Amino acid sequence: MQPIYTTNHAWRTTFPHLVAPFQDEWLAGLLLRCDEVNRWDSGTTLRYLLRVTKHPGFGPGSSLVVVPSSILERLAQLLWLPLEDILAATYSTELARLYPPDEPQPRRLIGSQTETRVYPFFSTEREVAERRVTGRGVTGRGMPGRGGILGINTFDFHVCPACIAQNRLLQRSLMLPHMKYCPLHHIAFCFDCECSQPLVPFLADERPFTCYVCGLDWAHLPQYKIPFEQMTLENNLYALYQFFLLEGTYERKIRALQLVRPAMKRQNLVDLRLIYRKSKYNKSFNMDSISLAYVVDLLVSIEISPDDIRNDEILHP
Amino acid sequence: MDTSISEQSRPPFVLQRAFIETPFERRYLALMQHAWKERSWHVISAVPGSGKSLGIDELVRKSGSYKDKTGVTYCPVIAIRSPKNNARAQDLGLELSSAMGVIPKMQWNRLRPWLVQEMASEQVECIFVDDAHDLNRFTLSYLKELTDNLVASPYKRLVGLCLVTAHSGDVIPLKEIIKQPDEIWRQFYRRMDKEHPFCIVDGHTLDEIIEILPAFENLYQDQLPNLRLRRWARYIYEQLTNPILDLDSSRRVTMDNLTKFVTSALRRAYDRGETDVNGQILKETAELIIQRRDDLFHIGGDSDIFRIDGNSTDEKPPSEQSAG
Repeated sequence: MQPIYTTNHAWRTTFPHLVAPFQDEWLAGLLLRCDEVNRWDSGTTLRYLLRVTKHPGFGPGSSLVVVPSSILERLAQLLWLPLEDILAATYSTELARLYPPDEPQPRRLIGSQTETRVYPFFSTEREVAERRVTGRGVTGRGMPGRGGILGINTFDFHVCPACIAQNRLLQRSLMLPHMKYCPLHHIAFCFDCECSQPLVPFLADERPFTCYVCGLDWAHLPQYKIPFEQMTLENNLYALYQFFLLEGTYERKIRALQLVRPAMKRQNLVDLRLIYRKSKYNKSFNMDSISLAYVVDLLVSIEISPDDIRNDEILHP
Repeated sequence: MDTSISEQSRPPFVLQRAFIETPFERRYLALMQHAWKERSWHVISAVPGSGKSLGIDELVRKSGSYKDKTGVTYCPVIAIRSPKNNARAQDLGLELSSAMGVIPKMQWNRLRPWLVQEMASEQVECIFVDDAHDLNRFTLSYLKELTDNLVASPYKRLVGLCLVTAHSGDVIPLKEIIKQPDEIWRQFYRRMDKEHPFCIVDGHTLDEIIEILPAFENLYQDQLPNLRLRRWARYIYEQLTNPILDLDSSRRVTMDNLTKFVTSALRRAYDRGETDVNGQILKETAELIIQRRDDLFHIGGDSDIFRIDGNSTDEKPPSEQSAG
């Protein structure tokens, strides 16, 4: 890509140092890399974007799975990138394809409270306070530098230490519910630092990619290999996510769900217990609107793979 | 020879804004490049309208600065305009940081060390402050602090400094501050170039006007095909060293005055359907912009005298490849 020269008006409308998303990088990681390359505190870029777009901040249960276009457009301008490159760091496009005609929403990926417990990226102010990080969260609009709380979840945010060590990379797969291991390195995601404190992505006064308590670089977190007995299940889970996110459409998703009941019949199952949600499959749910996390959990639980879905499409076009 | 053509067939007159490397610019750029390469400190002064800001722009344009998508930014030359109105150190800090791009709001106690790190990271070699006559002891001492921090460990980075001022007569702005006996100003003065700490770059002589005029001929050849300005060089020089314009009686001509005189004459000639200027047009131009410059001008009926020519107000930035 072309660099920016001083004769270009973009010299003054972009950040001093530029970063571009890696393949399959999550927006949170891109924002942290932007902070790091510009020598800013963790979350400075995000706080700036919220302020200049007059965004009220992210509420409880929000995530960076989907981000308002005003923020993405501004970030694209500040990094001198096409909007599509920034959009690709979220799951907006994929969710729009899977759940038409609605606007893409994070709950389409991670599920709603009625479905099950979710893993929010941001949580309530009270929760953060309970985690003893009050006053150190991401500041919202109008509170620059004061360390006010935007609403950060600290205990469900996780990273792959090997990805961080190699490229300072937070993959988009970190957003996928139920995943516990890095699909690239096959090591366990880290939720806490070695000092037992949770990992927090955007904290004022802290360096990016480091523990806010002991200062340990996340690249130095311990790397635990995936247990052999977990390998198949984790691979199946990731394969289904990839299938839906890369190739999925609304019709494909519905067709896949229609394979569940015949499969239960074949296996003589009256009830189906979902592996990850630890609950029974609720047949009364509206199949059009259940989250991708639920769809994938359901299909993994009844052992339906992407190949089964493709074969069904060939046999019953 | 008939030098007029039908006015009906002509599009509006278009002002050309290309940079002309005049003898003044060569002297001025040579001094700034010396400061950059030798990392020396100077106060550089010239009368208003000489082309100081244009020269700085030209130097920055050729400095090879770039921002790469890999996070690497190289910016050997930083050029800013001095903050005005009794500016404080943080105002100057903000100017310096905005020369690097968009910076999220930071408290001054954070921006201060960040600027030092950032300048070291971008490999800054020289700082140019335009309109430096607006600097005061607070902003000047901040410049000293900033450059001292860059020279110190861990950066060990010697940085040149050019304070570019407008002056009149032989009084150079800032000299009085820098030559004060206080310790800080002694230190400041010690950092300045040993041979030429205070420099005045002069305007153009008659010979230099003769050298510059062909550049105008080339620029306007499309619109005035028979243009031969050189033969009027002496007349133009005499008019532009008139005491009304040459306040210090320096017998030197600024580029601003020369450009305004020439383009005004060319526009007048063009509007009359001519393909070259003549003595009558130059005389009228001289009367209008020199002798009657301060006369009150009553605007009655026809608004056409203020019509906007062709692309003369087109201030688009230079064309660049778009993102990606």
